Amino acid sequence: MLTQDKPEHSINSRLPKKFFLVLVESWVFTTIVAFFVVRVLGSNLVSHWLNRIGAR
Amino acid sequence: MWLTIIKAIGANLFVAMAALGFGTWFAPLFPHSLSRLARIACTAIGGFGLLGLTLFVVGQISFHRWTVWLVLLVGAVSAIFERKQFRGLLVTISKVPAIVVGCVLLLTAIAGLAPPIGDWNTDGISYHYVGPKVWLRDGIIRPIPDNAPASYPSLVEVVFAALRATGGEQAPILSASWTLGLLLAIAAAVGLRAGLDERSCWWVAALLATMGALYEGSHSGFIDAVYAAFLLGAIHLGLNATEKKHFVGFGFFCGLAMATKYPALVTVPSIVLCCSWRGKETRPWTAMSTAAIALAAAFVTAGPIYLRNWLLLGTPIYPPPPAAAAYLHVKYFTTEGLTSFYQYAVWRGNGLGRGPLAFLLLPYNLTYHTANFHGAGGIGIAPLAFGWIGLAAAWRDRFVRMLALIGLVLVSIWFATMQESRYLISFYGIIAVFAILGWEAARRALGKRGKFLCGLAVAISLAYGFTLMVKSRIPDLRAACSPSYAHYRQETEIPYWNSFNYINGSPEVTRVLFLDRSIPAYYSDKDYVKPFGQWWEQLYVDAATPRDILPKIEGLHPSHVLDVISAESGFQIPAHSPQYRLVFERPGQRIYQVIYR
Repeated sequence: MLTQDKPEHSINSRLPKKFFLVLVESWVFTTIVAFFVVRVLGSNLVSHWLNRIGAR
Repeated sequence: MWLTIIKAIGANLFVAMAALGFGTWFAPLFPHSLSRLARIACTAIGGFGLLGLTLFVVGQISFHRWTVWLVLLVGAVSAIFERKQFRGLLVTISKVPAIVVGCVLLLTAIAGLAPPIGDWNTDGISYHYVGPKVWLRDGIIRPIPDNAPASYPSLVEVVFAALRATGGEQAPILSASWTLGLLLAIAAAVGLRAGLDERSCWWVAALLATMGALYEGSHSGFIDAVYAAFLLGAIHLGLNATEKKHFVGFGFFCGLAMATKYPALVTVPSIVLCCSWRGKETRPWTAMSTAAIALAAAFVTAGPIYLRNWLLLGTPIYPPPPAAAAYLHVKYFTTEGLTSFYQYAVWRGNGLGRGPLAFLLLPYNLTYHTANFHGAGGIGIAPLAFGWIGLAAAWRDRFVRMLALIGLVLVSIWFATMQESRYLISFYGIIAVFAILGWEAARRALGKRGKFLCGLAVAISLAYGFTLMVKSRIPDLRAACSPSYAHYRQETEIPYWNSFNYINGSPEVTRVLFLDRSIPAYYSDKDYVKPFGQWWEQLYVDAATPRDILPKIEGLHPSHVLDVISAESGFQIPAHSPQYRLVFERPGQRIYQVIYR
C-alpha cells in the first residue's frame, strides 16, 4: 500500500494508460479521415501509390 | 402478381420450418454451455444443411415435386413435435441496430421478389439457379454436362430446388432474406460467447448486415453467406466442445461447409486442428482423437456429394485440381478446356496480390479497396478502427484468443488460395465481433470526444454500407413493385428474351439445341442440349465447334435450334439449309425447326 502512494510510481502507472487512450483516439480519427479521403473524395492517389510500390 | 408473392413467401416459411424440424434431430450433439441464441441459431443452420443433404440423397433416386414435399413434410412435422425447443427465446432488443438489421432483411426480401434477370456473367443465372430448374424438370439430381459448376458441392442449390418446387421461381431468390438472418444470428451468438451483452450483439449483426462485401455474397443466388454460417456455427460448436458427441456435432457442421463450397476442403482441417488443440490442458492423444472424430463426421456428412461426383464424373472434386487432372480422365472437358477453366479461376482469385507486403496491407485494402476485386464496397471502417482494441481488451478469454487464431488462419488460407472477397465472409463475422468488443472497450475508457469519434466511426460504417446496398438494389426494388418495369428489364437485360418467349410458349418446341456457349440456358423452360458450356465444357470429344455438331444433329434429337450472334460467334446454320426451317427471327437471333428425314 505504501509503495502505491509514492508519487513517481503513480505517474509511471498513468503514463501507459494515457498514451493508450491518445493512441486509440488518434487511430479512430485516422480511420475516419482515411475513409473520407479514399472513399468519399474518391482519391486515387493512395491506390496509385500502392500500385507504384507493387502492393497490388 | 400477388399470388406469386404469397406462394413464394409461403414456400419460404414452410422450408424454414422444415429446416428447424431437421435441426431438432441433432440438438443433443450441442454443448450444454451454448447460449439459447446459439442453440437456436445452430439448430436452424444445421437443420438447413441436413434438409439439403437429405434432399440431395433422395434426389439421386427421385426428385419430383411430390418427393420434395414428402421430405419437407417430415421436417415440418418434426418442428411441430419438438416446438418446445424453440420456446423462451427472449432477446433484449437494442433499437438502432435492430432497425438497421430489420431494414436490410426487409430490403432483401422485397428486392428478392423481382423476377430474375441477367446474362452468363450473373452467377445465379449461369449456375446456382440452373441446377434446381433442370433437376426438377428431369425428376432426378444428375450432373449437368454443359454446366460444370452445377456439379460443385450443391447443398444450398438443392434447398433452392425445394423452394422452387413449392413456391415457384421467386421463392429461392426470396430465401436470401432469412438465410442472411441465420448468418447474423450465429455471428451474434459468437459475440455473446466472446463477452458481449445482448444489446451489443445487435451491433455485431448490424455491422455485418451493412458490409457490402458480405451482402453481395448473400443474395441473387450467391451461397456464400450460408457457407459462412456453416463455418461460424462449426467454429462456435468446436470451441465449446468438451465431449466426444460435441465433436461429432462440430464435424457435422464442418461437413455441411464442405458440402457447400470447395474452399472448405482446405479450411475445415485447419479449423478442426485449432478447435481440438486445447493447449497444455489436453494430452496430444486426446486432441488427436477428437480431431479424428470431427474429421470423420465431416467426411461422412459431405460424403454423398463427393461420392456422387466420383461415381458419375470420375473425380470427387469436379473439375479436379490441376495436379490431379493430369492423371484423370475428366468428363466433358478437353485438356485445352481445362486449361482455360484454370486460367479463369486464377484470374478470379488474384484479388489483392500476393507476397508479404500485400498480406500486411490487407487490413487497409479490405477496408478501403475491396471494390478492386469484386469486394462490393468493402466491410466498413469499424473493424479496422476497433478490431485490435477488441482483441487486446478480451485477450484473457481463451475463446477470444482461439477465435482470433482461427480468424488469422481463415484469412491466411484465403490469401494463399482464391482471393474473392465473398469467400472471406466467415472471417468478416469474426472481425465484426472484435470490432464491437473494441468499440465497447474504447467507449468505457475514452472521454466525450473519444466516444463521439467512436460512434462516428460505427455510424459511417453502417451508413456507407447501407447506402451502397440500397443503391445497388433499387432496380430490383422497382421491379418487385412494378410489373411493367419488371417486364421492361426482362426484355432489355435477358439475352435473346424474344427467342426464349417463343421457345417457352410454343407447344411444338420440345427440346432445343443451343449452339452458342454464351446462351443462358436457365431461361429455357423446355428440355435442352448445349454441346459447349460456358466454362469450356465440351460434350462430344469429336465436335470442337458448333459446325462440327450440325452433322450429328439427328443423334441429339432437338426439335428446334436456337442460333444467335454473340460476342463468341456469328450464325452457325447455313442459310437455306434443307434440314432446317426458320420459324422465328429477331435481330441476332433465329430459331429453326429441325426437319428429320
